[in-house]
Amino acid sequence: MRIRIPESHEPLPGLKTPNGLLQWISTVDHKQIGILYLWSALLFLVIGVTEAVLMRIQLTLPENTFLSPQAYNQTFTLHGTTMIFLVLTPMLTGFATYFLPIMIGSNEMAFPRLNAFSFWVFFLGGLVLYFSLLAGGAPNVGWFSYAPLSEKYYSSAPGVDYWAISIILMGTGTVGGALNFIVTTLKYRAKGMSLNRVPLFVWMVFINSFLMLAAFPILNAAVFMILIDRQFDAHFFTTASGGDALLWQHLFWSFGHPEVYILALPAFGIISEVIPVFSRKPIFGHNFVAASSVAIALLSFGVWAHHMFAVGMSTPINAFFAASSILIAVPTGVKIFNWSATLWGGSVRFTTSMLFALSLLIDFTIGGLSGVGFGLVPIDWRLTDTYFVVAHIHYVFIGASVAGGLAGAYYWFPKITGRMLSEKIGKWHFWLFFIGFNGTFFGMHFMGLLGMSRRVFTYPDLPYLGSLNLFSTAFMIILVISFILFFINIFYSLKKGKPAGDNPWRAWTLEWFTSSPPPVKNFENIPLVRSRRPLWDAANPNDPDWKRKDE
Amino acid sequence: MNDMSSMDRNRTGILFFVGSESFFFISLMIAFGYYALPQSALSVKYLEVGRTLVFTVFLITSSFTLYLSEKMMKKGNRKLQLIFLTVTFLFGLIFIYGQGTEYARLFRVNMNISSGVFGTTFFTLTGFSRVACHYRTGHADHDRNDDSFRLLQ
Repeated sequence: MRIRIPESHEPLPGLKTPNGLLQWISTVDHKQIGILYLWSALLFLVIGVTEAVLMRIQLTLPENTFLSPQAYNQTFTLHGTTMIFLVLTPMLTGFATYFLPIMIGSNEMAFPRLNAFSFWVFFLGGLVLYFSLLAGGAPNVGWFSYAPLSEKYYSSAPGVDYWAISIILMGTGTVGGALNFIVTTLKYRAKGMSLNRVPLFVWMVFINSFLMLAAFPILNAAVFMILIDRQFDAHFFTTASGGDALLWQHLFWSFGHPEVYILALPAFGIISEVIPVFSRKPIFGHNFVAASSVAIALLSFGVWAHHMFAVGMSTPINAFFAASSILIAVPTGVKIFNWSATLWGGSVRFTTSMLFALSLLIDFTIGGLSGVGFGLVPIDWRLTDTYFVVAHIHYVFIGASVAGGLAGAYYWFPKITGRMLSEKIGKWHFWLFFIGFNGTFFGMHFMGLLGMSRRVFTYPDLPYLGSLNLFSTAFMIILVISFILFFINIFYSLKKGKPAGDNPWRAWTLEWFTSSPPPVKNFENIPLVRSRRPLWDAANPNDPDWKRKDE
Repeated sequence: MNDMSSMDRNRTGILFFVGSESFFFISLMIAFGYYALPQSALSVKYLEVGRTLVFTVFLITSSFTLYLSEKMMKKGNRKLQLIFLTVTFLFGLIFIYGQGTEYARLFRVNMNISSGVFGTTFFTLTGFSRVACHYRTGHADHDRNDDSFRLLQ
């Protein structure tokens, strides 16, 4: 039976509706703030990809002269900082801001004004970072800004100060968001929705928020210290005056390692929603997936020094961090196992969203394996600061965070806009993405094994390095085309996408109970929540989840 | 649907915020412990522990008088509430006076944020503690009915 889906009779506030711009700038509505985050992520994605393209052009040939060393250093610093703080973070935060309240049956977040503040202060951070280009040069010391290179003596230009200030601003936004997510999840759940019954995306964002609350203040402390060193001639990290450059590394990586899990957990949450829906099966081992997230969160604070194996710490310390780093692979592996087991025996539907989720299983596993390799100290000694690391980080960042985010985009775009993204363009997007991404980055494993250094503007003309780099750049073109297709899909579907209806995927969590897009007040009423899949229960009164004994 | 009191969520929010900030201060303290504690000779030489202790007592007592003020407010005793509030402010001012003179004395003997790692960590840690967040956050936590609390929403 086909039901005609009526168009919503009030136009959504856009740039052309009366007071549209003012409405968007001053909004405290979590849905609009979520959309603002997502658009910002897309904007900075364009900038971050441009920086990547510039770098790859420079690296296509050995001893190339496309970018000067100074320009190259600024480019990779901006690229790393942008992608992590201005693309991945707002993308995942945007989905969380939009969907966490709806998925728990709430009409708003706990602190709407804090929500707005968090977004705008994050955005200001991005503007401050890029303002540095006009104010004496961008930071050029790598996204992790190691002392003593970042000290005034070696980097007298103000780029590092701009970097520091922008990090503080963006971090403040993240902490505000995390506070909001925690209090909303604790206090705003619908009747019957115990913490045990929240969707896995909500659970992951909730646990993630604790990680953010603990990790970002450590970064803040370190960044304030480098600012005070640079501006007030203090001696935190200047070895000549009794400081210790290594303190920076310890503090930074105490933030930096939890940070990578901060970027991964929400993506894991997204595919924990997507994979069951498109396998028509509840997730395998829900409790294990939830518990392993807590394990990852706790363990992530005990592995930081694996970024520092090459600085000369003693063997017992190296051994400890090697063991903890290998240990943290276990809960992550549990998740991969559970997602795979969910597919097994399911009625799998290969929508674009599902394809991205499946690519995460493959690519993140590759990234995880190279990561575990680094956990073995002698391997790390050989491969640290080479392109093997670059391969690893891109396999986990793009393989997990980006793929998860794209799975979420295709899954939730209908709910946010009321229109489906084109599956036809989507399939092209996916396959060009998968081929382009793997082609660009797989060869970097070999570049690293051959000794090619990272964060250096060129490399010597040794056998195979040139051809591997040429190959990588060629596939990067395919990857960039895939991103362009994504943008085309978005803009085309906003205008001409198929109307979606409330629940185009026949999914089971509460966001699919309201209309697409949701009204300003998300819910007038919601079904009583008695299990993890309230919409399944409502649609199957003869076989509801809460009657099944095995969950 | 969302019929819990706003006090409840405000209190939870502040609790987690203070917890988060504690990580910030722990990091600063780690730096202080790493750099300054091995140089305890310097601290004995420059920091007058007795004097600082007296002013610290004023600070801690001011926290107690603020609590008493709130208790009076709940009891409806406006006069005592205002008295305790004034005393809190006074004690706070006394503490700031003590800190100000201590800083002035240290600066006069050329002990400042750039005079070696001890100075760096000492002034950073005390600076952030005093000037930045502790006061505001602590007071906001106590003044639950205060308008400043609704800034969070």
